Amino acid sequence: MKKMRTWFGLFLGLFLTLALVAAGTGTKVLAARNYNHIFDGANLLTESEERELEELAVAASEEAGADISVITVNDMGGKSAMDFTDDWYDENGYGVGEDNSGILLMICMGTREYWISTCGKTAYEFSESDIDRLENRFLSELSNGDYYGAFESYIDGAKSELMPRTYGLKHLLGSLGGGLLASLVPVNIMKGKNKSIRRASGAASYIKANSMHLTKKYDRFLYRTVNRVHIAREHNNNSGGAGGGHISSSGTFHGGGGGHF
Amino acid sequence: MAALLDYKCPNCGARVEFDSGTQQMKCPYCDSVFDVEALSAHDEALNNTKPDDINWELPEEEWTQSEMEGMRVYRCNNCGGEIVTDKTTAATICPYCDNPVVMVGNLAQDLKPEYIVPFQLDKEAAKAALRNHFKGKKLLPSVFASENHLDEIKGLYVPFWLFGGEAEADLTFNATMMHSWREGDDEVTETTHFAVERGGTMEFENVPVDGASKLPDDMMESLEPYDFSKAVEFKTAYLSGYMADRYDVDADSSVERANQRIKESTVQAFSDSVGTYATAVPVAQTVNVRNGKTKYALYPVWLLNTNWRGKKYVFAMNGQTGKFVGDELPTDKGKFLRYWLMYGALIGGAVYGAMWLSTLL
Repeated sequence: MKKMRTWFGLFLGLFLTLALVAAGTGTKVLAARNYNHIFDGANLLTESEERELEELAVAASEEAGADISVITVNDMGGKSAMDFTDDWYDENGYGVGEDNSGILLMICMGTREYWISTCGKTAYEFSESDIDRLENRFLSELSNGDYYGAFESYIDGAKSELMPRTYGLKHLLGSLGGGLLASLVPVNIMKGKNKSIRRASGAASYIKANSMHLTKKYDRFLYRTVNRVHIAREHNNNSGGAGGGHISSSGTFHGGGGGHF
Repeated sequence: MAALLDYKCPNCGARVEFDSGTQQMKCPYCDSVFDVEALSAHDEALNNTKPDDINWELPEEEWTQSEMEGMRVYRCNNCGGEIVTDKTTAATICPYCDNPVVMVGNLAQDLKPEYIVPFQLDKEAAKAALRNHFKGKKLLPSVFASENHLDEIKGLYVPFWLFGGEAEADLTFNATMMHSWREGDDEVTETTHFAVERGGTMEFENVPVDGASKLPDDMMESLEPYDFSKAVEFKTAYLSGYMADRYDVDADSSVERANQRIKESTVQAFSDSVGTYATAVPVAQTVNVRNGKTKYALYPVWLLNTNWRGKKYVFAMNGQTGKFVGDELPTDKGKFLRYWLMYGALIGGAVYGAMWLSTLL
């Protein structure tokens, strides 16, 4: 019994250590910068809203270890949404660290287009489906004209997608609960060993050797059924698309996706 | 016609017993060893010189009819003590002088056993098997093995009906084969349906059903199988030194259980012959069993009566193969809880650890 307790203690200690280590890795100090995270060129936000979102974006960027920003414009100067956003990102010095890691949401009111551009480490971490998931968090608010809400959702969403995953007490308790449920199986098998009397089933040990004669063996074809299932491809209902990655005019690798709202 | 049979040693006159180690009759006093056949013949020759006292009757007026139903009284040939047994006892040990006795009268009333599988394992083997039975049972209370008290151990010849027969099966299945492929954006699944029929015969030999109502059927079935090829022609001499019961469930009432087991195995065997289909659902099955010869045989069983904290635990060992079974043993709730928590923590910990590991990838 002493052995069991020692094992249990060892495991508990290991997980608490892991939990502490993980909690410490979340923060990263960002370099000082001279631009705003929120640039409201199309004037969709009030000044106080802008200030609140700025604070939110700064905090989120710091936590996520990547630049999370928003720009709104009325006109893209004839460029495509993708090129415009990528160029804006590169020309204005967005991004953290050597690889300028970050994510920028662009809203163009003139064409009612949006584009999410990712760069550096963030471009590699964000898959197409991550971009889709992030879009779904704010698109309905954006379409309804709730810009503050949409940007807030975008900042929160981008942060949680970028944050290193941590598993806290909730997961630990969940794992242990699941473990206890699963361990009922081996323990009940052990309990079953205390029972040794069971009725016999069948009489297989009394079959006379080679006495089985198969005298009837028909396999008749009856009919055939065919079932077709259409495999739905994922389509973005805002006619947008997400790119796997491309090189912008300034020679930087960008990822991202966008569409109309 | 109640008589006790014991075998006198032709050498010294003491009672001889069947010895499971040498499979011969052995005199415990002068260590003489005799062949079963030879001793039986010798004994028969001796008996034939005296007239049989077939008119000897029980003093009926001293017993009511209902009391008579279930019991028999004998006088021990060795010490003269009165032995009271129930009517199904065929062999026992005299409680006064410890001599083995065989109730020929009780056996003579019914069919004579045709075969007997003699004991291959002795009392010490049964005791060792009992101790061994407690090993490896992690949830058994730690004190059980040391505190469990052995009240009685007896070697018992149990009456068995052995049924043979031919089973005729006719089975129909609805079976399907499946094949699926991709056609553009469509997943196409083609299911082909078949009517599969299988029929034929197979034979069964010596399916045992115990003929003693005193012994639980599930316990006797748990002791199976017995190797009938080791059975020998029945001789009363084999019973000497062991207990034996006469059957009290006749063959007609026992055949049902044998046929049920024969049917189960027949359905299984013919279902296995269906082959490689994705699904095979039985829609009709008929199994007829034509019973052939029924044999009456005695199989050896060691019965061990024990108790622990006032509760009785009965164990049984196959006297031929040594297979050991018994009543369900108690579970230590504390041990159950500790193992449950330990395994739960191990599995839960491994899952939680895997979550963290996945973040490193």
